[in-house]
Amino acid sequence: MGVFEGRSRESAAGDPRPSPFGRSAVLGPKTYVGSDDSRTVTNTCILYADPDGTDREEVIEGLRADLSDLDPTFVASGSLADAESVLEDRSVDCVVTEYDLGDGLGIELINHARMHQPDTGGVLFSAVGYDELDTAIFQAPVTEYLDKDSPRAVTRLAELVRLTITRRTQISYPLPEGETQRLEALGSYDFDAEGLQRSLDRITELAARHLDASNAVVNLIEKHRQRFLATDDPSAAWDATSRADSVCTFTILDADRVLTVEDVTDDPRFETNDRLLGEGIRSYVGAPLVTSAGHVIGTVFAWSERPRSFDRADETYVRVLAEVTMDLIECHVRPDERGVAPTDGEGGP
Amino acid sequence: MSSRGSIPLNAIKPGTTLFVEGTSSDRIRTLSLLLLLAAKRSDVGMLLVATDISGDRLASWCTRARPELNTSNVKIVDCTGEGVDGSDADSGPDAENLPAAIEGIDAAADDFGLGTEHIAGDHVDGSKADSGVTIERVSSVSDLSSLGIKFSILHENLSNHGYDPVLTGFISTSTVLEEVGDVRTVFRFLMLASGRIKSADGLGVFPIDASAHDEVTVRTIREAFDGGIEIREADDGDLEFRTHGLPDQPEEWTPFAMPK
Repeated sequence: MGVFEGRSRESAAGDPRPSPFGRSAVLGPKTYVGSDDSRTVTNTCILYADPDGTDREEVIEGLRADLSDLDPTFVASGSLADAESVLEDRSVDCVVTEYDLGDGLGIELINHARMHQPDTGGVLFSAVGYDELDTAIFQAPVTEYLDKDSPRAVTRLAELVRLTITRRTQISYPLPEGETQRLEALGSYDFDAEGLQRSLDRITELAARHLDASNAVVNLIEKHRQRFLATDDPSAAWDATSRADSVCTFTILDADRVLTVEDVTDDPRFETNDRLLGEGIRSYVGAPLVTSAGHVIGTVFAWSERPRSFDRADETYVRVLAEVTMDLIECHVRPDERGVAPTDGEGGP
Repeated sequence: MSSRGSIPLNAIKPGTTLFVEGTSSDRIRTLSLLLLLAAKRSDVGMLLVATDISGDRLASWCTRARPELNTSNVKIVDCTGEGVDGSDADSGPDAENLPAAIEGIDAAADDFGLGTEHIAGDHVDGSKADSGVTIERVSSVSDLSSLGIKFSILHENLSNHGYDPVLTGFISTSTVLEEVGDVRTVFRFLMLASGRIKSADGLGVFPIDASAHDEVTVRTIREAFDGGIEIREADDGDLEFRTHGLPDQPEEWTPFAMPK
């Protein structure tokens, strides 16, 4: 495809890859992924799916020009299957897709993206009119739509993509005030500092034992996901999970409040969250980790596999543990690179 | 800011989305429409999403409430499932009360932002007048995918025709919550709509009947908007309002008058 000519090409795995019809190709700045998620710097990634090679070329060129300040990486796909495989491999901020991808529908692609990366924005970019759209698929996604034949279509598309990415207009949960500053604060600590992990593990042991909970955790809330920093269960090797599936997403909304949930199946925020139940989380108590500047970077929480209440003393206990945890973390501010906003590594959001 | 029997609000900044919350669906619907109809300029576009009252009735209400309304600027997405002849579905709770509710609107509307003007309290008999308003239909409120796409198309269409700002009302947001049920899905939908409205420097009004939902749901949904207006009936029967998250607006409970 012409759009890739004369430019560096790189697959998600870093291998040069041509861009034949139906195969994905990555084009744009290199993606940097470090071993420590909180220090990871990942470029904005836009997946564009369209069977029409000429349209792919022209649209990506237009988006690249209009979104140059975001320095995005573009991944182009010509089919549903190929686009879905891209989503298995890498973090994508926004999916822009034609309606008909030949082997499936664009709304299926957006659905697939949300299953793996719930924060991903979706824009249906097609000349197919409303009356011809089939949104009767199971759990059809909420998505932006723009007529490909409309005036200034690519310019408007760029505006919508920018809106979706920078203002996060398609997420399914509230953001705390000062989210950008919160993420900057999160990036200013060295969570790998010697001795910190051991201390935090002990705090979670205290929490689990005192509250008679199934588990207790120190948790960091990154841009798209939550990362488990410490737990009372030494055998646990929990992967980071989506922020959209996290109870702690709501705990960090209020720096002054301990969140308790007696039964997630009775709470409208979580009752449809199969992931929580799948992990055995039925009740929850969590306190925010509040930096000295007032930013909430994570939580200390405990959960049980059965519905139960937590009394005022329990809440106070968790709050005190969160304060102690934050005191420990504050001892490990990175001397360098303050203000680097963390994003999530591969596999998120 | 005056208080001649109206809600004493200062002008609302363009690019604002707000909830209008109360325990009377009729009252919050009326106030939401007043906010939108108060705009003076002829280049203003209006996009209404009708979920608990048919698009035809909503159009009729608007044109009767404001006869000089340029209906070519107004588009409605009707999600009630009601056919053009209004024979297919219930017109929604309290729909019959709308005509009476507009009597005295002139006072209530007097000070809303984006410029206000006198809105006549003409009587409406509830018949489906040929309003001239464009009404597009989506089969069900619960089909948020179709609704979102239709909303995007019409919002884009109004903007492309030079209407600036585009004022948007979801009449009512509560029905979306009730029909869809999943707070996360509704929140995503409202974030999308809110984002579009804000980016175009429009005004978005989202009435929420607090009596129809639990407190956690209402508190969560509020987060999708910049702020809001909360209305309650005081012990003495008078109405009061306060605002949340809106600069230069009353944050304490403040009396106001509402058409009965």
